[in-house]
Amino acid sequence: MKYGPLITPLILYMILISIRYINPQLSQLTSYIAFYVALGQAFNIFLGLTGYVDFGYVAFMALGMYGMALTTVNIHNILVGVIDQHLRIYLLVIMGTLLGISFAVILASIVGSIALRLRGAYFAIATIGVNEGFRYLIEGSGMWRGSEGIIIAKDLIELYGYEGMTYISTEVADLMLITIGIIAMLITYVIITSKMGYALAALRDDEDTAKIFGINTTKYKVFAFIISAALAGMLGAAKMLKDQAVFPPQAFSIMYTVEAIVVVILGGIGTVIGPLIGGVLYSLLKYYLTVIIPGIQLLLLAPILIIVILAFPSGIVGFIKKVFKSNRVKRLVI
Amino acid sequence: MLLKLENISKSFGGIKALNNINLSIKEGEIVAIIGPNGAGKTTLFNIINGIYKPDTGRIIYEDIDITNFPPYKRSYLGISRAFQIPKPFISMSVKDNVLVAALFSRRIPSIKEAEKETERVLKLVGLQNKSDMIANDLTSPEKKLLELARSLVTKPKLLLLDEIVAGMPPSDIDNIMSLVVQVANEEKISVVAMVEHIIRTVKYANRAIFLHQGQILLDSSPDDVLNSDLVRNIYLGEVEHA
Repeated sequence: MKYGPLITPLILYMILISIRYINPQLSQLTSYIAFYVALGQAFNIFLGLTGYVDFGYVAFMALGMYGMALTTVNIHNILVGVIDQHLRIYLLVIMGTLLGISFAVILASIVGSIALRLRGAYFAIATIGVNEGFRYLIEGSGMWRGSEGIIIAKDLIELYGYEGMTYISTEVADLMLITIGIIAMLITYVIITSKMGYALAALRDDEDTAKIFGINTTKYKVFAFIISAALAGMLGAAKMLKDQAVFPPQAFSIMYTVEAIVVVILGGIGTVIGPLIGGVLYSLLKYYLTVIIPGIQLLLLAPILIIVILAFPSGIVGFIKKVFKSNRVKRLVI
Repeated sequence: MLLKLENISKSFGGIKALNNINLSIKEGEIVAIIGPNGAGKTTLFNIINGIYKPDTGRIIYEDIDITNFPPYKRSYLGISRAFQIPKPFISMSVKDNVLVAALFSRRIPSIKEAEKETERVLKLVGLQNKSDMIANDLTSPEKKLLELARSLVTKPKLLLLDEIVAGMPPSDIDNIMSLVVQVANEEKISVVAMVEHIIRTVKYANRAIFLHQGQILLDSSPDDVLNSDLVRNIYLGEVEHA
């Protein structure tokens, strides 16, 4: 069955959505999970499919946050004539997300066209500067309110009332997070099963040989890079509605990139369902460790992650495929 | 004339690997290139393939000057290469390895056609039962067959075979070489093969070229080349000393 591999992840997403709506007390946890799953699915499209590590990845998410933030503070005039609350929210979501994606795609096009001429470690080094550079650009030039950051709680209350603001930062933002994860997963599936998927798998294994066999490796790398960045922009837009504030040091923190790498590797690099599993696992671990031993959760989190990755070097999905040697499992879990 | 090398020279540091090579290959020829280690055979292939650029000279393929064409462009034009040390895509299946080559060959019009050709070629080299195996898990001789399959599926006009039968038992050598000749004749592919077991393999060719220290010393029928004193002294003489 052509769409067989999508059944399991879609079921898992449905479960996640159900948990969130059936038990509102778990909504904080489920949106925490949804965030990391979406982050992993988006990052996987570049890291997982090409094997290249973009250390500046978080910059795309931060730009998504700024896109939504700038839209929110400037949308008052546009919404003047619009009465229907749902339409007002809808417009904010659409316009903010589009702006966030645009920012991310523009940066990705610039960075990608330069950095993707480099291989392996050199590419990684080149991208390390991107997130830091952008952060200092904002802080140094004072653009977009510089180091003050942008807080939109007041704007949201003005536009939608107190209840509207709460609604946006819970229901709307959570739905966005889960949707982005699903979209990223579907895009991953479409790519893997297309000609582009073969090109990426080949260049991931052996870029020189792939070139000799006629694959335009640069074209495919750039494509994956921009798609992955766009999804990070979407994610940032959603995160902005959730957090209602963006500050350069936190938004551009390399920690998110590191976590994205962990989620992807934990689940299984380059797979469709991997980031979903990795995201759930990582976020649950981090969440409960933070609850149980706040302040020093990283002390325990790091060794646990090391042990898990040593035990499952090809990620959880790789492990499942190895253990269940049947072809049916192989076809349903990709 | 399919391929013409004019005044090709290539040096690495102080060492002249190829010294003023002039060579023409016609359609349908099966050429064996023999020569001791260090003669320049691999460099010659890398020049034809586009991995190295020559220091001097031109490469004309089907009346086009391809001297500055990168490898992938030459692959589009129909120049295919099977490497001495097989470089399969190790995490992909046998079938996918061949399929990738077919998908991006630009000489196969559709995905369906690519899948058909993949099946056909896998059957041809005898790997059809292993098509779902991960390429990395194949034995060494099987990896060489996979190399051959990958280079054949692209529907090449010029096939460069790099020590394709090295390390194989004699019975396999005969099977592979006669397969290559059969396919070459049926599909009108010109083959240039670097061969290790010259006595066993040269007879499959219709032309032999003796390369030594970067120069073509002999270019004639396989029998003439094998029986020449020059080859016997330089090549076979070295075997005795080793």
